[in-house]
Amino acid sequence: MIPYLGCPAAREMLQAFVDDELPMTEQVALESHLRWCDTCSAHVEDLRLIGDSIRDRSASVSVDDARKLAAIQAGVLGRIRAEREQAFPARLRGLFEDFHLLWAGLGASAAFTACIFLTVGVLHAASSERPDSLADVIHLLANPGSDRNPVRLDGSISAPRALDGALPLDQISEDEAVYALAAVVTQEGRVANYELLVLEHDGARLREAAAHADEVSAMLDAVSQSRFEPAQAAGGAPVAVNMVWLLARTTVKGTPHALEREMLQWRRSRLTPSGGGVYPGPPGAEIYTTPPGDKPRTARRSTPV
Amino acid sequence: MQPLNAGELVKNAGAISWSEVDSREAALLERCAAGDESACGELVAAHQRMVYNLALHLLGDRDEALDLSQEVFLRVFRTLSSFRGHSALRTWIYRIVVNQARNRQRWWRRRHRSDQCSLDQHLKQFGDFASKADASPDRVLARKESVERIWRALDKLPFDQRTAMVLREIDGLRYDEIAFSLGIAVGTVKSRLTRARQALRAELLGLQP
Repeated sequence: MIPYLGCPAAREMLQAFVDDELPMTEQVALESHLRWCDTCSAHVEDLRLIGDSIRDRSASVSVDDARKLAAIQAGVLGRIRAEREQAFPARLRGLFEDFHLLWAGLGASAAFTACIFLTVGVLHAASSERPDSLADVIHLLANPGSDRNPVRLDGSISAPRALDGALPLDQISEDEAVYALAAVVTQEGRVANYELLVLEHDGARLREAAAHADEVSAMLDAVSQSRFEPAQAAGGAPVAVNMVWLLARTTVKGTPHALEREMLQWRRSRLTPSGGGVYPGPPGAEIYTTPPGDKPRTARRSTPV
Repeated sequence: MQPLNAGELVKNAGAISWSEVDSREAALLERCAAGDESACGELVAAHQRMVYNLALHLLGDRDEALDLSQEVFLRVFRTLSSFRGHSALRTWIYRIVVNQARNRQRWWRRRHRSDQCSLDQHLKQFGDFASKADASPDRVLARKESVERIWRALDKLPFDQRTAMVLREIDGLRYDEIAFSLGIAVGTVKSRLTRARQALRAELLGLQP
């Protein structure tokens, strides 16, 4: 039995009916409706006329031109081919097809690697500081107080003190000897760069030094082996300093008159005479004297200048 | 290249479902994906007329349609690996054509060229429509006028409605195929067709005495 279908429901189905999208039962029902409904039939005719009109124009504008269609195919294939040729794997494959490019590439790579190693070697060699290089000079100037750039001794720097007594002058056989000695006391307290200072126009000194060359050399060796407590900067850090020492050995011989006069004065002042031997000097005396007939005693003084 | 049978294709495809693709078409797609140039040529030759006609109806310009057709096939070959066979190859290509045409239309709209596809220009380019030999002169004249009206109205339709009408009336796609090609639901396809036909019928009725 075919179900009854009214116009409102039928109009909802007209489009699907024209497009053959209706289920079979609804299609039969709509066809039954269209047999007696002129309005819906006219609507269906209009829809079919629209479709026919569009298809007619479409048929008239369809492209049968083989040249145009061939242009599409040729264009697409050409662009595909070009894209594949431009692809990286294809270019890489092309490089290996021709081996002279491979060898050229390998040679270039080897040369490049050699240049890299050479450059690194040069940079490495240039980075090490040589004593005569400008970098070393700059480094020295930037670090005053080092062993190679000693500073002058001023008020802010404590003077180095000898750990094993005064500088030796025992090697000199002369009773009277004065030498000026320039040296550097390093940060470790050693004596470096020492030299004897003699004025070039002082011929007598030059001759004297030449005459006692062995003794002077022994004295300088003793000086070089001396140990000092290094000079200290304001912050307490050890610094190397330039030093000039004036080494003087002075022998003072007492005369009998002078001794008697001195003893008389002393007896008068103390009223009680003392025993023989070494006579103590007045308080504050810096020069030691010996009684007459004894061997002269030597005072050794080293004065930093 | 070695010929492949359907069994090998299904096995090689792994998770790919080729439910909507027949074995000959699947073999052609496999060859295209493998870089076989002759297979690419075969695929273009098999679908170029369809692609060109659809591009022409959507854009209304022969040169643009020709250029768009090439772009569509290049797009097809570039994205062939993403084709899973859930639809017919033809429908998948339709979808690409519609998307490319929509993009080009938007570009035109930005460049104020959306009105270049006039009916006069269309007629000048493509000539007159075909007339039926058994029709009387009056009927031919009336039909010619109605066709002109309908095409003019079709040109004025929004792109989505016009595309649905072209896919339905010219290419004969089913509702579900149109839905896949446009990336919309079947109900949306019906509503777009309904609105488009209402507009065209109004134009048609206004023409008739």
